[in-house]
Amino acid sequence: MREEKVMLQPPPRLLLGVAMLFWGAMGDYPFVGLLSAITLEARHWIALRWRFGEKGFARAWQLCVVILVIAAVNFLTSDEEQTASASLELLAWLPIIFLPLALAQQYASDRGVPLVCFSFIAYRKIQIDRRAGRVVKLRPCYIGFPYLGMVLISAGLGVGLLSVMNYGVCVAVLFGIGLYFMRSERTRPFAWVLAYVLAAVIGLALSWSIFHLYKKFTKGDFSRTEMVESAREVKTALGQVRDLQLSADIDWRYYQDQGRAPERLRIAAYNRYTLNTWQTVRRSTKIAEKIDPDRSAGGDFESIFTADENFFYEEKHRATDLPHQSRIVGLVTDESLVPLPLNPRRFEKASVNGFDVNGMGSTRLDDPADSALVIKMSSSEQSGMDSVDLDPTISDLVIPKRELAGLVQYWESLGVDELPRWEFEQGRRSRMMPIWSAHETNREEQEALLTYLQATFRRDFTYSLSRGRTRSDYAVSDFLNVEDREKKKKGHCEYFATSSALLLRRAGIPTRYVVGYALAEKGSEPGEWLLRGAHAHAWAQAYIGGTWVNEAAAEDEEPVWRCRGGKWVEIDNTPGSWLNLAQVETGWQRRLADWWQKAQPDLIIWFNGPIVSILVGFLLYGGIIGLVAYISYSLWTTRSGRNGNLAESWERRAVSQNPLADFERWLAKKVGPRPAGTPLGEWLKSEAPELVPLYQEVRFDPAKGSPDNLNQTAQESRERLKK
Amino acid sequence: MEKSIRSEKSISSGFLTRMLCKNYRNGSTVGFFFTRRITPTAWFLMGLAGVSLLMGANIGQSLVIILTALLSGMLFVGLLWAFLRRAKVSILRDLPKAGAVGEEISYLVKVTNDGRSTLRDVRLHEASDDPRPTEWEFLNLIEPGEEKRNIFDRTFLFYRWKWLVDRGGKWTSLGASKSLEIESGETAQTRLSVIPNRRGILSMTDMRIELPDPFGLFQRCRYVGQESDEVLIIPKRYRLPELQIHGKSELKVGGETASTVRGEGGEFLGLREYHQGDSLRRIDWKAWARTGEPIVRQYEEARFPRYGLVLDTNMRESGPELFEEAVSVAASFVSTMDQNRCLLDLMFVRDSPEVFTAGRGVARTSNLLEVLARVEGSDQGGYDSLQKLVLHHAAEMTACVVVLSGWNQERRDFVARLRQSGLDVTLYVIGVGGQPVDSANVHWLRWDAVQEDLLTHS
Repeated sequence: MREEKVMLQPPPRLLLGVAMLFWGAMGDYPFVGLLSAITLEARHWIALRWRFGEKGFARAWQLCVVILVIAAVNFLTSDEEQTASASLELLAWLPIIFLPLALAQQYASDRGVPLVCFSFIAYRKIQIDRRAGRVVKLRPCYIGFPYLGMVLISAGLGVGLLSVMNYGVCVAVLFGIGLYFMRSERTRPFAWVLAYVLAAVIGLALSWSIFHLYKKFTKGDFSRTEMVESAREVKTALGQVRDLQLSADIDWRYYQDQGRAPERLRIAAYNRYTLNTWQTVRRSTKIAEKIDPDRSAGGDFESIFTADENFFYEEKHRATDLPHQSRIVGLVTDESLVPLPLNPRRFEKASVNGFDVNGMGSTRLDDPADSALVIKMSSSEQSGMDSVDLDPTISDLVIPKRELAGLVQYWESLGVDELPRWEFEQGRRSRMMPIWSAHETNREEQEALLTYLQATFRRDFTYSLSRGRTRSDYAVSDFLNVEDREKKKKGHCEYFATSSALLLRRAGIPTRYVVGYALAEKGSEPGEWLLRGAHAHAWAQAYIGGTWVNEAAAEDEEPVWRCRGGKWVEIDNTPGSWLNLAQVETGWQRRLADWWQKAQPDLIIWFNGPIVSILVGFLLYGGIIGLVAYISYSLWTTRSGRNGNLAESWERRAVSQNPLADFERWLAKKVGPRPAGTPLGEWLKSEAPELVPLYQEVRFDPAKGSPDNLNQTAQESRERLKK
Repeated sequence: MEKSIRSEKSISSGFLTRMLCKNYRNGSTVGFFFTRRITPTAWFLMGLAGVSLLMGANIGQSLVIILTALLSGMLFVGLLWAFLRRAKVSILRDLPKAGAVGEEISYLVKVTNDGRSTLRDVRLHEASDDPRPTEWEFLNLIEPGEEKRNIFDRTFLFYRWKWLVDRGGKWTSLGASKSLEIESGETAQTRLSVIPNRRGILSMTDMRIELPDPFGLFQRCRYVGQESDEVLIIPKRYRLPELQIHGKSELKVGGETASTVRGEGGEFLGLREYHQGDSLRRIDWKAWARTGEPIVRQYEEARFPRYGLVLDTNMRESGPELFEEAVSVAASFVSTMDQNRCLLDLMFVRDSPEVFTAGRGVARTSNLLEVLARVEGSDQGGYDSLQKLVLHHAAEMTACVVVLSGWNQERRDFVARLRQSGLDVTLYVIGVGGQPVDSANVHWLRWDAVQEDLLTHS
């Protein structure tokens, strides 16, 4: 029968190895690359081969798929906010994930890998076809070049600017060599070189064009290696909380174990507002902000203290008794922001690498051990804010220029005429900043202003999730709607919070925008509160009673203004009726969903408990070890030589079935090994002729021969020969 | 009700099936066009370019787009290069006179460069015969085990189409020649091979010259100047079991009787003394000289059985596939019967009743195989003339092997009349599916398992 033609050619010697070294160098895992290269190329110096057949290759492929699935689960669940990066990282490891299949091809004595091995359905189909007696075509293919392509693709994922030239040159060289050897007939080398140079020039021009177009349209630097911080920590747009409110899913569960439950839990605070979006802006690092005698912070996320598996913001709270004890339970990812009550001081025995806090007091997890956590917290009194938020800077006063007129108009409509003077922020013509030094207010005035503002908001505004069309650069002015006094003003919490923040800023009070959850629904357990999407909320926090001071080191330096000596207060001007809209319907679907959303983190936490972890680890690692052992054993017992099947060759069978095997080994040490092709009987004639007839009987006429007699005689012969 | 030779569920002639056939035919045409011009390496590179484009879409965090661009450049250059290649050549085939189904035919091709420039890296490729089944074949030929396939496959019949295509056309090319380099005006020689899949005249008319790009990704296929060349392909032959055809004990005078050579015939038995009346031709003069007495040579008179081989050329209610199998079975008998020991009369109806005899001193087996290579089926006529022909020769025949390409009432009647005449008939019927209940004393050969059934029904 004519053999089926094999698709593609095998790659030339060393090409795959060099490609793996290149991959290791590009991805910064040189040792793995080197090891892979050695295992791939060692086939040229090792005589071991296996006849895998379609079943063996199918098993190798299935093993790769299992590894891929495990790796995908591991990568993609490790960090929700970095899913794109995790995907790239997963793709970058594809050469290792598919190494078993590549090795199977390298060490196989088969002609290529049958394509049916790659499809479970196709594989099943050929088995059915065989049972039905139909002719089956397997279509083998050498997968060396496809594997090379995968290596080159993976090498290009997640690399930086310095690697552009390296990658381009190496890919052109490696792929060029591969392409040259892909043809079995290489008759026109000069034409090939000319064509390849042309192709490389076109490829170069195309790459250049794509990169520059990308740069132009994104206005970014494609080669930037610095990772952008997770968006939610530093940025939120008006509407995001409202979108959350449309969901009745349980995001967290909060337990007040000791002390009074707070009204709200804060997730993050933001200090700069532009075009419908609040952002967190890093403060100047010219001076270090002291929030603890031992720790200075520039405003970025920085680790808090840790000791004895506890984490605390300030050294003084390391082990002090605190009046409020609470827990929060939920699904987490790396860098998840944690909803916190007022004045958090300490986290106890949380399964995380650490906690990071920024200048706004937003606190996030650093590398949690599991995808669900219980976080125990200790807080000080909840009667007022005494938080770790850094004191205000000019950023806490800046407002967009386009909103300025609307804000002033609103204050004037309330009869507040004496407002600070404002000018453009330095270098930014779209944002205004106050000349606050000309207008100082004291704490009482500020508190009165807050109270007055709250009263007017509750009088003139209603809460609605539907806001209608709003101009993004006049969102607050449109919401305040001073011109149409008759029209009832409506909006959701984000508008109330943003308007409050900007109005207070216009009045010279440093204010920030805060998002979090309201504690609005009690759970079934004592002290339990359910934090659903519907309870997501936004409010403001203002710094009152402070005095602005220039903290520049020298008078001739650019001033560094800080507002000191005041305190932060929460300003929630959203009408209390919003919680009526946050009520969740209680149908059976909702109850079922609630049950699952509560059970899921509990199950994960239970699953990651010490006993279950040990048990699972034992089973998992035991399974892996067992699998590796099984594969090793199978490979060992089915190995063969480069030119034939040694494990199952007639020579080996003859030795294993030879009743005088022990005697032969012993005699071989004495007189040298039996020459290849010489029958045992003939070989024995010279040294132990008495064994020959007995051996012939046992070997070829078992009914007549007696192994015991043969062994006895062999022993006697051995004694004789020893003498 | 008369049972058709095809099982009921095997016949699907609905509108959908016809449409499927048409679509598959059109799809195959497009596929063939591209397969001829785009190599597997190019498909691989196009796939790789697609994958690299997807995986490198995040330009901000990957450089894979460089590989995509390089692959695109290669594909573009390859395509353009192949498109711009030109060649003007003519060829001359040196074909053998005959071949056999399933046996490789290797032949020499002389190719002359009629263009002005030297041709480098060109290959000749004899196009295979169109493997696509006809609508009749698609509608009526059922893939073995098709009834066990799932409902989707049974509805869309793709596997039936694939199975029919995999049978190949009349012949299958075994690939292109090696790469050639031919100076302008010069002639080069190369060797090509084909495997015939069907008997009859193999007419080669579609030799192409392939002009690949330097990467071997794309190739231009140019028709070359050529004359139509033909090879006679004798039918496929099956292995037969040890034949035990009985028949009447009366033996027929063998080939020696019909020989044109004068002299004594028969097997030499030995020498004996001369008896009065012995022919002088039988005297062994050398033996007489040695013994001094007249000695004569003694011969055994050669008489051989004479068999009839009746081929059913009627394709009505059976179709060409079954007829082809019947021809193959007949050819198997022709080539298997020891014609040094018997005479064989091949009988069938073409336009008129035909008898061809082979055996010792008459004609060679190859003559009958050539006849079978050219025999054609017909949808017209009945079995009367064939019956008359067989009965006319019945008196001379020891026994008769009848090969029918189907089983219906007309054929049943034909066989019954032959048997009524006292002729010993060994009957082989090519059919679809299992053996019908009314086919006693019939060697039933499933058309898709003829070899297996021949060996098991002996």
